[in-house]
Amino acid sequence: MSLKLENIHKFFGHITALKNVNLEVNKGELLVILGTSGSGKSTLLRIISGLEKPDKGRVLINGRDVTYEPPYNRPTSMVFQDLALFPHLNVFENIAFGLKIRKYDRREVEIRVKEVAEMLRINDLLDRSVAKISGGQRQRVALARSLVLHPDILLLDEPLGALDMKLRMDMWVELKKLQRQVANTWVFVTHDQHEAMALADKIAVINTGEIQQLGTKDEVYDSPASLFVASFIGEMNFLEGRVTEVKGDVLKVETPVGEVEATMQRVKGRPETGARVTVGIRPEKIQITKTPNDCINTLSARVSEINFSGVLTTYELELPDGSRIKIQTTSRQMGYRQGDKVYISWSPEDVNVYVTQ
Amino acid sequence: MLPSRKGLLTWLGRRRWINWIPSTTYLLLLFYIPIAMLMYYSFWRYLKLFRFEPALTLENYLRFFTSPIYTRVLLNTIFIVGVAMALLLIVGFPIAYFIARYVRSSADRIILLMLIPVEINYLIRIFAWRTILGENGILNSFLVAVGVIEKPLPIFFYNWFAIVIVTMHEWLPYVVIPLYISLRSIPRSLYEAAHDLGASRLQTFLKITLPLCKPGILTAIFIVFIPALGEFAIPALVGGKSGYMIGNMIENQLLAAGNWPLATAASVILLATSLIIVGIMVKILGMEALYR
Amino acid sequence: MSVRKNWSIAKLLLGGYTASVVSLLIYLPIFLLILFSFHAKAFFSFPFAGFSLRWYMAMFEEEFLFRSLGNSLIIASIVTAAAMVLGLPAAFTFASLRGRKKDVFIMFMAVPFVIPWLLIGVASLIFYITVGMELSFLTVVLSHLTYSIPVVVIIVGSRLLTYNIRLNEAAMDLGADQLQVFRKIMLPQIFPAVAAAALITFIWSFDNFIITYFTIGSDLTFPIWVWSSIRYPKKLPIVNAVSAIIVIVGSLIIYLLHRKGLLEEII
Repeated sequence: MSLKLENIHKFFGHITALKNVNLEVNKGELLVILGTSGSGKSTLLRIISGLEKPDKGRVLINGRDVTYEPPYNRPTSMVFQDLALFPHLNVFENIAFGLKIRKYDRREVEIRVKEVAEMLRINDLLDRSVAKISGGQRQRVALARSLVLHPDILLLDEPLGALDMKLRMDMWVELKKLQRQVANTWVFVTHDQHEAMALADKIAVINTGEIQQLGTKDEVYDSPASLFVASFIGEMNFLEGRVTEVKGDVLKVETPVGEVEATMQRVKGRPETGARVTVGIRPEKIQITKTPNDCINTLSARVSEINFSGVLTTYELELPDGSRIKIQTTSRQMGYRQGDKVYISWSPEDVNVYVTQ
Repeated sequence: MLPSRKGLLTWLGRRRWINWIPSTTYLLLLFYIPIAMLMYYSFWRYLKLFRFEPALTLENYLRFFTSPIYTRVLLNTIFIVGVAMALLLIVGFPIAYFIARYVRSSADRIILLMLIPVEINYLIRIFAWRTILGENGILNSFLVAVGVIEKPLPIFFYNWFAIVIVTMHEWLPYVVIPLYISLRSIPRSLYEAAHDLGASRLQTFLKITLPLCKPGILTAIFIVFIPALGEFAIPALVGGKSGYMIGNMIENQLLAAGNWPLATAASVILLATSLIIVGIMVKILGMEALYR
Repeated sequence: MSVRKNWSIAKLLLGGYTASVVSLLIYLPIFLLILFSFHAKAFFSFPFAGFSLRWYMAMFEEEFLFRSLGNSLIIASIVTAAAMVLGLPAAFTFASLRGRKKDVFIMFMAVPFVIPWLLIGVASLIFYITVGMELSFLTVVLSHLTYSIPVVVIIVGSRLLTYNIRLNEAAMDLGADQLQVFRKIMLPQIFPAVAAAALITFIWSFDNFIITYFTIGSDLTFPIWVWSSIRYPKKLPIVNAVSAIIVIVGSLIIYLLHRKGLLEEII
């Protein structure tokens, strides 16, 4: 176990920034902590780095309790949100800063800086001022400054925030490659679900100071543990309803637009008959047909909006009660037009059910 | 058609010669020509009281540099102002640091508080120091009261150190302000990054804080050093014998001794001294330091 | 926890240090000055010989004091107005130039800024006497301006440099003509800098001693009156009384300016 957090609590005055956070990350894994601003994700990262101390709980790195160790006694290094490059030092001096502080001899510093600069393809920039290089290059310098210390755990606090979309997407690919190459543990904080999906081995979704779900990308996407996670990652259609029957492996829910069936392993909590629940279905799990098929979970609807955006076509349908539902498919020509009456259906295995009360 | 930045500013400035001609002409006539005249007089020959004739002689400069008194006065001036400057930076830095680090939200109020006494003319304020440092002043009374000395000593006022004290009193706010501005512009994450990379507090201070404060330190030196070099009222009021500065010498030669050639030669030497200091600073800081 | 504690100790130490330096080095002499303006005796001495308003009364008999105050106000007003008229247009030039031309222009404007005031005074005196101008009010104003014009150019010019010209473009795009852009968009934004430059110029000119000393001839300004009175023990308490009034009135003005947010531009 590379990193383990146990029951971390953090309070700022009366505000609870983190509440009973537990996390485990294996060596060589890339964990993304995903949350909105104010969710506590950056505080969590700063606790791992040692810049903040938790009010309760323990931080273990490689099995050693480092909860009260200062940052420089931890095998971690942080890439800051604003990068925090030292403006009065050039690229080389920035990267060499930590090594010089640790009193490595000059030759060793030079060798290690060159090595990491080569890896990040900034070896031509070493004697440039950090004010005179591009945003992407600054990014690499910040990474190099941390990686040159060979940290066991690299912490990244939304380091790509300042880059434009295209550059970010390139950086995702590159970071992922880099992480495999250096093979240490990375903890990456972001508010962007696409970034999380592009980078993560594991995702921890955090909201109002609590970890909502910790799992692989597939787990978090296919089986979101809470309504929050379901609505935060990817798109999800929600229907409100009431449980009418629980029988073996099958749960039946009465909604304003008809009956919905779900398999029990996708049900969060233990709803009894009569309980209020919310049913969630991903847009791409819904089939659309001209005629009713004899599947369970079939509803009638009317096409109200069609939007083609490159790979995907998104249909917005109106259900009989006036509510709307989204469907995504990769096939472009399905011959539907606005106003067409259609039927939609989905499999009970793709239905997530959350108890609302 | 939308004007470009350059186009719009052209409208505001560049080709409108009427914008810059009056001010530059004014400075040329009433600043640059007088300064040139001052330089010219420094090559004239002194005859007797307020009598001198046009010449191109270096004898005034020779007299200045060969006289042990005048060179001593120049060095004394640089020494006194230098000591005051160094003490100002040492005393002012922790204040600027305190404001930038701990009470930034009320920074303007604290700086304002330091500036309020500036309303009183500085001659009055520096002379008020006599009530503290003078023979009947608080310091003497205090020392007599606690028994360190038996009777009041006239040693705290009318000497070069009194100039240092009142110079510090006069300029402290103007040293704290640029230091504070420099410190304020250092993002907190830089300290955290240094900390995270293993730097101790002292190392962070020496390698991050101090180098990034350089513009503030140099601005402070710039604000204080130059006017203080040419001061003559302060030394005349509180300086006594050991506080005789080049300003006093120039004033005396110009108005009392009536030796304009020597007074102007000393002025040119003072001018060169200030310009050398500015030159060094511009070199380190870049031109922007002048209008930051 | 331990880290937090250390911080507050550092904060306490630095706060205490700041408070003591500011009160001892900056406020103590001012406090004593005001205190002794109420002193019953002419000499300052301990213990305090009792309160009296006699110096405030004596103040009204000082004809030269009021003349000099009036003169200083007039000089400072003329200098401020003239520095604005001459300096503001040049500030636009300053902001519009680029590269080498800009450096030359700044150099030209900034030289009065980077030499001791004494030299401006000495050079002015020599110049006026050589060309045969009588030393008076006028020569004081002329010499003050050689310093005040660069101050206005540099303060307002620096603000113009950081001015976002896109705002002007946006306004023009929305249909404003150039004059409207200047009046409605630019002026409100650069106004604080202009006000600050005017304030600094006024205070500086009002308070200037060194340049005035060399260029005034036999006229009087307030600092010159102070200079000639301060060393006479009989006059010193009167100077103190005037200062006490100035600091109280001045603080009130500063407070009001602060409330209006005008001071932030200077700081």
